[in-house]
Amino acid sequence: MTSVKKILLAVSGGLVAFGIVLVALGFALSGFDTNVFTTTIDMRSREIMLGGVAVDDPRGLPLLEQFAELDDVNVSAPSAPAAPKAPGA
Amino acid sequence: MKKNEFLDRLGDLLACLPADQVEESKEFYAEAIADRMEDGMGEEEAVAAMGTPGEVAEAILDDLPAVPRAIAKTRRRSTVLLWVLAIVGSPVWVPLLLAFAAVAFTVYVCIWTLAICVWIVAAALVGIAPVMLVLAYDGFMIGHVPFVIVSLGWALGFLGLGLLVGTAAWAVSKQIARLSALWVKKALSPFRKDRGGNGNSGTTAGRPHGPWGTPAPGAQSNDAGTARLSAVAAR
Repeated sequence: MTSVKKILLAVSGGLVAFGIVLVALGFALSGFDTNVFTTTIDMRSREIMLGGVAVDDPRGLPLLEQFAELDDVNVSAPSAPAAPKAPGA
Repeated sequence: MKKNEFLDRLGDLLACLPADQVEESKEFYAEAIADRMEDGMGEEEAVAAMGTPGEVAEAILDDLPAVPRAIAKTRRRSTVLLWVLAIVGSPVWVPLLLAFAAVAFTVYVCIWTLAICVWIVAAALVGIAPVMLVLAYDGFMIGHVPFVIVSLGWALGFLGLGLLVGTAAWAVSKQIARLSALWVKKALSPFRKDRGGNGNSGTTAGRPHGPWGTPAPGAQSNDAGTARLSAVAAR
């Protein structure tokens, strides 16, 4: 195995291990609350929750601000246009 | 039989092949005869050791890939017959050839699609990291510390996982590149002979080869297609 590959494997393995440790630490600090793993963005009620905590004002928060500015997304079919008047006989 | 007589007769018998192939075969056997004469054999003795021109020509033709061999043997009987068969048989061989090319191309694309899929997975895993970092920043702004730490953990974990999968994707891509090269060689094998790693007259597995992969006169061979030449050369 080349040294570059060994370094890459070591770095990526280290990142994964450190990441797992941080996740476990954050879970423990939250009082073992599983909501800490959740992120909820509800466009209908305009509610944004990060780790179980509601975000009152998403202005100035990257990504969440963009979601909050999105208008309602209407997925229903558009209404048919009115039929044109028949030409006079 | 003299050397020039042998080579002329061989050239006549191989007239069904392209001119460059005929010249290459004649040069090879001229060299083989010259080598034997240098070893002390007389000219006629060295020529006799090659076998008859008919046997040598048959061995060369038998060693061709399937499609060039069929074309050469038909052309040897009659060029007109070859054209008639090509034209009359075109409703059969043209669709077959197109289907063969389509299958070969599809398999080639499928092989590379595997590699692309692995790279997409690696890119997706790495792509999660910046999103989690942004969410960690948002969590920091609202003062939710456990969420920040968890999001940082996810970001680093997915980044590491993405790098691991990327390393695997690189290794898979190298193997797939080899596999696709093998596939191309296999797909072309009925039409073109692979001459091996050393070019036109290199050696393969320690055995000297003549033109088109035929063993040099006197060389041992286990291939059915080239054993005839060896048997002839041994007499």
